[in-house]
Amino acid sequence: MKIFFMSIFWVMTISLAQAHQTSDSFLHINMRDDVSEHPIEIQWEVAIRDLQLTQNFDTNFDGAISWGELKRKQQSIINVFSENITISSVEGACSLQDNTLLLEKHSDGYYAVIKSNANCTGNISEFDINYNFLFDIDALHKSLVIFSAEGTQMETRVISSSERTLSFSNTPLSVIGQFSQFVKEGVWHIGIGYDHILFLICLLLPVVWIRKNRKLDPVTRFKPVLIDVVKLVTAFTLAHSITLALASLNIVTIPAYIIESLIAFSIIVAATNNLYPFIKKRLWWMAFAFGLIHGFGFANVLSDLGLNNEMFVINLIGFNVGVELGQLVIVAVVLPIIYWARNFKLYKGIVYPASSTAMVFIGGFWLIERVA
Amino acid sequence: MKHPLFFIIVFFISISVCNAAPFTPENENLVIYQVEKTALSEKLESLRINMLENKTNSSDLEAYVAFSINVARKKSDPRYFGYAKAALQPTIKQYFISGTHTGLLIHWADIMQFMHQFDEAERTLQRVINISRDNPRTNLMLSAIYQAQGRYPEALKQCNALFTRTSMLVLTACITQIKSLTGNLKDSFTVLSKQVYRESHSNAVNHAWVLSILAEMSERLNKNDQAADFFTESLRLDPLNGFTRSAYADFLLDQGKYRQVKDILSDHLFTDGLLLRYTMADVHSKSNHQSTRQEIRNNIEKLHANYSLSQKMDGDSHLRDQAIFYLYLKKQQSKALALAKSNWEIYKEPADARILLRCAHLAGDEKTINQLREWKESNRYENAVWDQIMNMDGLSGYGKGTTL
Repeated sequence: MKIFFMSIFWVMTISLAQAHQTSDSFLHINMRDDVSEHPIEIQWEVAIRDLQLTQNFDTNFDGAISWGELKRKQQSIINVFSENITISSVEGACSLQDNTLLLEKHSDGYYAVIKSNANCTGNISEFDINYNFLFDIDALHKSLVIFSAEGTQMETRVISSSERTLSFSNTPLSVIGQFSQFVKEGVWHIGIGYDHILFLICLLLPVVWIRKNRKLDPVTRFKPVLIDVVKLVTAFTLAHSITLALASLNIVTIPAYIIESLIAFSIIVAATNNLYPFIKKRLWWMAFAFGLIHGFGFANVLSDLGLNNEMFVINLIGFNVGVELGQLVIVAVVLPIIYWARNFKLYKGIVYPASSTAMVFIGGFWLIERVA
Repeated sequence: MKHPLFFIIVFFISISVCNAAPFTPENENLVIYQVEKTALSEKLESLRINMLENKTNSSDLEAYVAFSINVARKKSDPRYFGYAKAALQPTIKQYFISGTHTGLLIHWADIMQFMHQFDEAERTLQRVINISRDNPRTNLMLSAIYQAQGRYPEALKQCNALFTRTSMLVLTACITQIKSLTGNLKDSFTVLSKQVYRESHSNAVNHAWVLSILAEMSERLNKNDQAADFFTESLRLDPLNGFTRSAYADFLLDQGKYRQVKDILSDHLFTDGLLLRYTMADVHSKSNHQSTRQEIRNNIEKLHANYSLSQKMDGDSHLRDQAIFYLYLKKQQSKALALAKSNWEIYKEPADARILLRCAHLAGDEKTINQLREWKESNRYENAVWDQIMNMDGLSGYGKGTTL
């Protein structure tokens, strides 16, 4: 009964407040184009703590494992490596050669590193990795496999006790494939980027009015509205494309919290301008100025996606095209509605000022949030 | 592959991993690992040897598994769960079918629960109940799982099944905890307060658990002074409990008591969750010291790397804390909202609802807000802080607190 009582808190607690990580290792597989022999480079990083479960390295029993003690067991560590990690091409298992032992410091302590080259026969455009280290001792052990090859997107996958074999293909992604992937990311980002959407809507709202003194008169023809919208969207696009490129190339870097705060500020300015216009003509200048800021925001997202050096320009253009497509969808939805509504007193007298006021508050709220 | 979060994670893992540089130390005496030689580790090793020598003996297996799980809990180290799982894995199916060793099945369910494989844990516990109703722990575990998933009627049923099979304090705590989430907060608080007073001599860890429930109830009732007292007392009885410490830190952050947050966490920064809250307090302290600002930057980088790796390796664990991290420390609301939504698909505890509500409010995501409102109304859930956010009073309160 005592054991039962002691464990009540634990029983009623779903997770563990983890002070440590689960056991992990890292397996880098790098396909090289510049060498004809042994083009598959392998680097396995494993925590000393985990390696120590397979054999005793503390040969002098002083309670501490030194680099010297580890090095003296180099061959047995290499044996652990080659017995538990298999790389196979279509024609069978590759032999692991030129194995060397190194050390590396991770956030949770030292890791032993084995560097090796795989000698495979035949075609290696497709190969399997089989991994069996530690699973019979620690079933939660996992290995993060990081696969890189010239002309392909870096790929990371996890090996666990329930999935011990992974298949990789060394076929580079086509230019079209890469491009369309980044177009999708651009569209997706606009879709979830509420602040960008709000700023764009702020800019669009006044295009259906002509300001005369303090009065707002609805435009009579669609063509001038369309021209204004094209100017606005072009200015915004041009500006954010410039900063997106500059930031992606690491020519200009600004901390994310500053950019995020300035984006919120841009909404306040644009929405305030709808209520109390201080920029009455050439609104596209404002679109351009703040477009520069929004571009840095897009760059933060793009950098998170992991750009491929080889296809940098394709990735960048693809993402930008995606952003533009997303913007066009917003324009296509908003513009007909506000054009249709411009003659209604309800829209002019209540909806327009109320929505702009709301945007000032939302922008202000976000600004406080992001500065705080 | 299609979700942007995947790329984000991949990128940061790749960066952190790629930037690491293997080297050959010049000094052969460089100590690279301290071998643990404590009573716990020695006992575990001897139990492991026993188990390996007597592979068919289920008692030796249970002794090793039970001890591993205990060590995992005590040291907040998931590796020991891994050892227990590795030991049980080869034979657990056989025990499940034969039903001959319910103790091992309960340990298996415990491991599955830790791994958040709730369906497997539930299936195993139901099997144990079908075999024997002797162990009240089974019902408690099931209740905890149902509660985490927001399945309150089922959770309550498991608590009711404990009647006469456990102490009144445990029974009352189990029932009132769920009742407090389903429209009976005030009464539940009163009943549990009286019971804890009657059984003040109970086991310290149990007592700490009950006090932490009372603290959380007090917080939701807006009885902040009482909540602080309950949290403090709970931590005095069970100082190593990371959950209570984390909940207390959240409570203090809401109160804007950043100095106190740092005081209670400064010696416990070995978990990401506590480091996250410490850093939030640091940020809001608005210190101009260069060293503090550098410490904040370092902590944010460390948390970013850890959460990215954890997301990839452990899937959906720590999603709530990740959402908090992206919302408050990275100021990336869209990302925080996406994480909070993913978290809500799995976990439906009040803290999960709260971070989702906060993210949805900031993003103006009316659909999510309405879903949460429906959830709140259907469960008759009461929470003063929640109401503040719902009524947008959080706008004024936010300057004072952090996690509203």
